[in-house]
Amino acid sequence: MAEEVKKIVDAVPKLLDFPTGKFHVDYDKEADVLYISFERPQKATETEVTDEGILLRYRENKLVGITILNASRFKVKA
Amino acid sequence: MIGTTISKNGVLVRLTEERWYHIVENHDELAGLSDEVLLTVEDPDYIAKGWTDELLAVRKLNERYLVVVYKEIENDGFIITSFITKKVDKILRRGVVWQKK
Repeated sequence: MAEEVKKIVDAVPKLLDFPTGKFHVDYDKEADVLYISFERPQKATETEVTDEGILLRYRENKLVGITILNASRFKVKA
Repeated sequence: MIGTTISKNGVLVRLTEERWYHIVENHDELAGLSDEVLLTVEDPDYIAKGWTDELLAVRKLNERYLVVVYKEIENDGFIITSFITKKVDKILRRGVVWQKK
């Protein structure tokens, strides 16, 4: 348990740098898709695809979520 | 299981309940469209290359496009995620591997 808490605490500086103070994170492990929602429901009206396999989710011009495919590629190697 | 379908490569592609839960919980515009998602894999307008070994099935849905990201591993396939977009050109520029005639 202590190890799990440490991992979460280690992520705090990154979380504090997020563009919004409120966000929801949902990782679909089997599909390796990380969904980050800045509002929920997102009610996105458009999804833009980047060359890196990241889906930018907009409601009109407001970014309401980011979906990252193959999310485990961003894991820091131990 | 929400459903299964056969892709253009003849592979059985699964849409599991767990996957669908993640999809509609986040991409809520797809709520109620599971049949359309399966149909897009079965009868797409285009199939484009993904970023690694995924395929992107694209089907026109009214004035927009339903895109389904899925994988085929030998004779097993599964849906990864799905979304709706107006900007299909950028997806097709990745490389069209199949197109409806």
